[in-house]
Amino acid sequence: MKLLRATLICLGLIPIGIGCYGLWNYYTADQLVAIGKWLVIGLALHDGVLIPLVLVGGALVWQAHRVFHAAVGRIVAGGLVVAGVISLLAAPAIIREGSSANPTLLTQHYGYNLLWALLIVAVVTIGGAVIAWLYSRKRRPVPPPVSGELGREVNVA
Amino acid sequence: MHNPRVAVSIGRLLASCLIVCFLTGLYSHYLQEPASWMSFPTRPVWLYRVNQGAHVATGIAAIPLLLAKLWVVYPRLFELPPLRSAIHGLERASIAVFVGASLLQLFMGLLNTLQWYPWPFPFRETHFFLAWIIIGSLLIHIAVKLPLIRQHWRRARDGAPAVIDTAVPARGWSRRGFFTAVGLTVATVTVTTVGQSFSPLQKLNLFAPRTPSKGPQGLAVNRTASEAGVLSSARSPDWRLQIKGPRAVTLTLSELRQMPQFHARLPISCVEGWSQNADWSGVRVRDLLDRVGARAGSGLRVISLEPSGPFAQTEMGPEFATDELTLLALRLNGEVLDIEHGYPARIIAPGRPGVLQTKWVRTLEVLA
Repeated sequence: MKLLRATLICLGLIPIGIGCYGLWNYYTADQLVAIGKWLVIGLALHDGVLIPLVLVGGALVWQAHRVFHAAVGRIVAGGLVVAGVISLLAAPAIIREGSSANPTLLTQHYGYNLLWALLIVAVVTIGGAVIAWLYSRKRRPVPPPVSGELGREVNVA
Repeated sequence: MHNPRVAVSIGRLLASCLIVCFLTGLYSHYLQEPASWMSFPTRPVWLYRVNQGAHVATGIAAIPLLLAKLWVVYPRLFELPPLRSAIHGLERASIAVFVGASLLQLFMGLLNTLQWYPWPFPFRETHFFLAWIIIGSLLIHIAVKLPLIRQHWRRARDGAPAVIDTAVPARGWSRRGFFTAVGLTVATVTVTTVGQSFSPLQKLNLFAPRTPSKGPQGLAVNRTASEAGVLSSARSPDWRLQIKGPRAVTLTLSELRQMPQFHARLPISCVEGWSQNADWSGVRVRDLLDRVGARAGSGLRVISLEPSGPFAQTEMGPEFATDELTLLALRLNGEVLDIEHGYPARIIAPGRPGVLQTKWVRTLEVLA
């Protein structure tokens, strides 16, 4: 295992060397600083903004188990994940729509497309959540949450 | 969900995408900038179409996978103590580079498909060099985490350290629920974009920037005649094709039309991922090479009317120049080439990226 790990590390250093050498040779100092800035800003936006938002959103969604059932929360969370990622994916196309001199680039109404896609995700999610809720009620009544013990896991299984 | 078993499961999916992305990216890069000893297959004719379709599709699929992976390991960002040793510091720094480069790489790649470049450095080279850094960081990351990866490659077995794997918690993600959500997200982003290269799903293409069949003569355009600055030169009645070789020849458009015409059904496959099949006809490039007495196995330099631009001049190895399907195309889908598609004459060859299918050809130069 030690040998394998050492080999992998050495093998990994080669492409890193190629990449760094290329960057060092090809770019001006200003461009390197700009790449560094973009790297740091990307990391900061992801770690400092996106994930905290997702965690807060998740914490809210999980509260659903108090009223409904854990499965309902999971379906809603799944729907939000799909909706969030397709919104991120579509955002650049929506921002750039109509900006190109090339009429064959950005040919669609991406805002409408996103709305349609979000609508479908919402319908599927709500439908799934309702079915899961009804199913869970039929199978067993939801036990009342332990009052005043926010955050403690209650095992209903 | 923030446990090693989930990190390993997501990690290997993400790593597979990154590796496919890297290899297809390298193939595309070296087609455009070959080393002198390189030679490329010309069959199947859709090779580059699949290569680049896979490059962009795996890149897009990697976006939700990367976000999921980072979400799973997020608590590690706040591990205590933050620095245990110099080695630990190096490891954390390398992770920061790996994550930052991966985020930037996928973001740049996505924006490039829209031809949007809001950063002050060149796209292609940065994408290429970052790819090397990412793949090297991936290998080192695998090396560092290897004991953990081996331990958690499969579900917890008897005797293995307990990982809550199958139990369904009272709230929060269950393992199955989490992977279903990630899988559905990957499927959704794929299905709503892959239609730009995979024609059967063209109708479901909601978010990819191209509809490859939308454009003059049923084909999208990457660089317009106006952007290339050839609107008048390409329409000029004085246009002649110059062929430089052992016996230089100059041909008019009608002389080209009088030569034996050949037909080829070949895709335009753009580096940005979209592609579309089309019917081309024109003169075989190998016949033009014979006409100027080029030696067997000669390569070719193709020069466009385009006054400047990174692909105003391209080179083609002998494997493409002598291929029977490589045409100097004069017609597209049964009509005279539209100016947006390279009127009066353009190159079309099997298995090459669209940027090398030079439009508005002015000169062919035989390379020794």
